[in-house]
Amino acid sequence: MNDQTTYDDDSVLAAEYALGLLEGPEWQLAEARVAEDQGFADLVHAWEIEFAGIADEIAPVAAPPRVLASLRRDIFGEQDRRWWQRIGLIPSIVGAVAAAVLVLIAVEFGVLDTGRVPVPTYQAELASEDAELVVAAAYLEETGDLVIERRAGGPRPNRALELWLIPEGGTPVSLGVMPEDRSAALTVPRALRADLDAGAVLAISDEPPGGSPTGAPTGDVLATGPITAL
Amino acid sequence: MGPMTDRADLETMLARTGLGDRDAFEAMYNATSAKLFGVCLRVLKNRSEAEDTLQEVYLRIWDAAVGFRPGAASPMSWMITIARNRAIDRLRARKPVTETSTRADGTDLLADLADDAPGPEQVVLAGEVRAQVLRCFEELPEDRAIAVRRAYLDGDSYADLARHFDVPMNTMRTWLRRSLLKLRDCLSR
Repeated sequence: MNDQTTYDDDSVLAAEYALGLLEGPEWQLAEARVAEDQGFADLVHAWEIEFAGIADEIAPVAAPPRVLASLRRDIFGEQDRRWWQRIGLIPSIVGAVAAAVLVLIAVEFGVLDTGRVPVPTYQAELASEDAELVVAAAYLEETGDLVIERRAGGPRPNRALELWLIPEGGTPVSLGVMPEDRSAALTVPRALRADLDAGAVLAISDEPPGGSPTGAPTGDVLATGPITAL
Repeated sequence: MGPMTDRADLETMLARTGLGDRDAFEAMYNATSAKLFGVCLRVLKNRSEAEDTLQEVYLRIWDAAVGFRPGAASPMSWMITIARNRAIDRLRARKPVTETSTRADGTDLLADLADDAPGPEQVVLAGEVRAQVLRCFEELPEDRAIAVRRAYLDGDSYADLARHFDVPMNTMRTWLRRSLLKLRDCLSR
């Protein structure tokens, strides 16, 4: 082989540039040619496409969901919507029911990475005589997140709303005071998760700020809802 | 195995992405991000840097999709090129450090990284022919193929390779230039 021919060969120079083998002035010259000489730029691009085949040997690794969330913000100027806001299940169930309603829906997980809409597997509804308070809830079994959304009404003045889980045949266990935000997620303690199932009941009571001082409901029960499988 | 996304699907997604279709962009992201994240991780060997780079890569893809010409390149190769080049740029922007995928305790960082399963909708390349460049590597002396891989995935320059193989830089150049010519001949067959 004639090395002089080799060194003058544009295709080899293009490959060296595509691989990043060159440094200093050699790199600068090649960089300038890419900018000025379309034929040379095409050679570089053709090599890049061939070398991309090397990546066949690299195993895919699932990217964390926050990357897509950041891209949505960067590209679409979108605030980072939480999963329960994206899935949009609560309005379709509750609709315009003119009553206090508590709905529990357990959704299948595996949806965050793909953005697909999950399929509800549980639902419970209850209408009370009081039409002031409308609350919907969704439960994500995999993470133990219980998402609650106040759709109408709120706590009485200087009072709080407290959420309770009443296991089948059991006594109310506090799931916490409902946050002031219209929608928020509570994490159900691990020990209670098995009870959050068909047959159990969710309830909301009127309590002093900070919640019941006794560990049991002390005020009016404003809404309750049994959980049933869809 | 989940639904497959083939080359034609990806070309459609890229074309629609080029028109500003965000659903197409997200579908494309879902189909390709695990592969590109794997590439970024392989080059950078650092999860948080790979995440940042992956984000930059898809911003670049969003901007550049309108210029993608089907036929000139497979969409996956085009995207891999963007990911690899971006990751290499970032690698070089680092202060020079000794990098290896083997930790001090002898375990392999990359083996851990590969534990994450890809999403079900990731592009499935199975059934496609093994990349021609990999078949052509088999016609090269083994250390030359390793040198090309190191340049592509580890950002090695001629100077780095000369150090690694413990040969004078001009020897390294002569070796690799001959190998690149052989590679070109093989690829054009």
